[in-house]
Amino acid sequence: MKSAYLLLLAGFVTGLAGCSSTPAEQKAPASVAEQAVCCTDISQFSFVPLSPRTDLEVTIDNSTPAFNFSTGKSRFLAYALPVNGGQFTVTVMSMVRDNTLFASSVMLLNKDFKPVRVIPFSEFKYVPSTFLDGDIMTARFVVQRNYRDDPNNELYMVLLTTNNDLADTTQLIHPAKVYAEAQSLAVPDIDDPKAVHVQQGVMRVTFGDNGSQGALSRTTGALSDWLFGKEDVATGQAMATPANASAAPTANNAMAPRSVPMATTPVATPYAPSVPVSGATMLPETEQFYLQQIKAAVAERDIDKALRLVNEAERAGSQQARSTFVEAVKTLK
Amino acid sequence: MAKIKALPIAVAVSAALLSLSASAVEFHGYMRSGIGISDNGDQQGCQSKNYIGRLGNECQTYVEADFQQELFNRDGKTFKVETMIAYQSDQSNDWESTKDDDSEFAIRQANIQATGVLNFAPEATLWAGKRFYQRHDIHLTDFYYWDVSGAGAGIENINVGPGKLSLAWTRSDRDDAFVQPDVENGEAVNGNIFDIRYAGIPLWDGTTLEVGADYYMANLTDDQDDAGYPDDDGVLLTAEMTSNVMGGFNKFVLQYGTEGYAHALRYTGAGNWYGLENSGEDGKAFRIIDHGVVSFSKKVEVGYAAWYARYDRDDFDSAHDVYSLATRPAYKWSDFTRTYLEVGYFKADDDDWGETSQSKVTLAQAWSAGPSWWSRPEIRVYVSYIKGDDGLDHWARDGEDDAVNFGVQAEAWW
Repeated sequence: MKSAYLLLLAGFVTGLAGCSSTPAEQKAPASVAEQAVCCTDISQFSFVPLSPRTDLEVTIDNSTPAFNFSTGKSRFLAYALPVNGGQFTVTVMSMVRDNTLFASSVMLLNKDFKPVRVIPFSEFKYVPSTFLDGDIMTARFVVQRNYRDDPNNELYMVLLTTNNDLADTTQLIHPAKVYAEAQSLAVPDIDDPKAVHVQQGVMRVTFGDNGSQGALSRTTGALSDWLFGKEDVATGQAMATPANASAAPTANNAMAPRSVPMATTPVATPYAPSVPVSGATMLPETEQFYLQQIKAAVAERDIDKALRLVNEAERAGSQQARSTFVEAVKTLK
Repeated sequence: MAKIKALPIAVAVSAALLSLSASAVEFHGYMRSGIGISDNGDQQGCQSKNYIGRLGNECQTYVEADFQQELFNRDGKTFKVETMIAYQSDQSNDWESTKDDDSEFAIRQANIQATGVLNFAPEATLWAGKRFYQRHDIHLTDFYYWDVSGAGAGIENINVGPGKLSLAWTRSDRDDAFVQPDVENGEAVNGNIFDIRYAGIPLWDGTTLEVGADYYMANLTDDQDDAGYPDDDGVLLTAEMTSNVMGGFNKFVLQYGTEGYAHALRYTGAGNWYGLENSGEDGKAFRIIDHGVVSFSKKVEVGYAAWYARYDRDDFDSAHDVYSLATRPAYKWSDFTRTYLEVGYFKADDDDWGETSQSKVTLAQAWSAGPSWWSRPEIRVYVSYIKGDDGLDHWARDGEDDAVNFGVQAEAWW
């Protein structure tokens, strides 16, 4: 799985000119290839501002702008995330329509419009048709917000698709099988339909847990996420901030299976991946700092803050944050 | 900043520590409920949906609530617990309580399923308890044609050759057939079903075969035996061929039954109901079923079912038979709205037991969660015309032999 991430990053990272990836043109409807790109740089996108109570549904079609990302020409949606407040949860859903879907990746950008994290389509989970939605692919993640002016703060979000994903399909579950599973019936031995990945679709974006922003639900939501749903939260792949970006690493280029994007427009500056989140280690001093802060927050009974500290510390590589929190809570009277 | 009392937090955290390696509770279920009236006065009349179709022909609120949780998962071994209750009422008013027999509760499932615990077949599931066991049904007529569910135990899905073998022992007493108070344990006869099935036999591209056999053994007490209770055991054989057809499937089923199973095949039995009081006359029956759900186009998807059963016994002058045809095409205006037509007909010729026939035509407009014929939840507004000959009791009210039902129904499973 790690190599898949590296391949994807290699796609984002390579900035070399070269032949176009013909599969993108064969795969996407003719209109995307003919469609003029909107801009020469990501910073020129029209980022639609979103409120903290966002729950929107957007259709990607022939009128949606396209851009030459390093992973291929793609229609995209661009949003400016709410600036106030700390981190919050975002759920992105791609709805299957007529057995087609927009296989979206989520790119998070910092204040300088540089990509700092990518959540690839491979992290989206399949949810069969339920409650007035058709089949959907969904990903949930937490927008990172640390100290003010942290170059890693995620302030913008771009939904796009890649050439690799356009060449792929998603296996759905046949509704007759969903019925049989739900009803404890013998599951019929029949083929599952496949959704083709295309350059149009319907996307839905919601903030918070089920869009609810009340203080109590935010807190209990965070707690219940932590107790039951943490595995469902995508982490994506961190990218270097401008402070420590280096030239595109040759090793990754060697691994890239596809050649490179279209030469017609210069692509965004290449970025090297930083140490992946999962492999991070923390300095003992900062770890102690976090543990102290967590204990202090629990002592004040500010569980909301304590949980945020735990999440932050874990992302930075802390091994003890969670158990410290648990111990601190146990000693609460 | 939100602050929370310490005690609930401590409790929640302890719970989290205990359940670190377990998954969350899965909540599954089924529900239907609605409202309807009949042109003959009173609530809508509903009849014989197994024979003529269920759309616009269901008169109750029925709910199943199923909770499952994997309690253990380590080293490739899992243990899952499942419990389900069902409850129903005739939805006639708000307060429908068991106190006045206005509603019923039923225990449907309570079992544990374990995988990876059998050394000779780590892929198989070992289970025990009350369970819905590998049921085969036709959805549009709510007809379960192969179903031995009940309390039991078994080992299912053992890899043998290209397919999977499953063995089960379930219990299905007849506690309604005999009322002889002077016989100790006079009312219920213990019935045991031994079920063996082999599924996934590849036939040709896109088609597989499943075969199975059920043996019903009545387990009489000495008192019951002395009182002359019938105890002829019977056999039910089933073969089902499943094919991928037009984005959906078709199933062709052949069944053969003896003794109490022969009676069951004529009367929409499935294996867990055994006609013990009808045994002893060397009864034999076969049933042929063909049903499926297929897409003709993006806008048209059709469910259909046809079956025929023939039942003969030494004490019959001539064989009894029945056939049923039902179909439910859907025309999809959009991903969430569709119009259904459901048409059903059956005719039974049971010799000197009588002849009956009935037909139904239903038109419904539905709003549902998705574009598939199977998409639920769904709300429908319907009108049904049901007609039967006088072989049927005054189901239609006022001695009429037909009824027009009008109503709205909600159905969901998850």
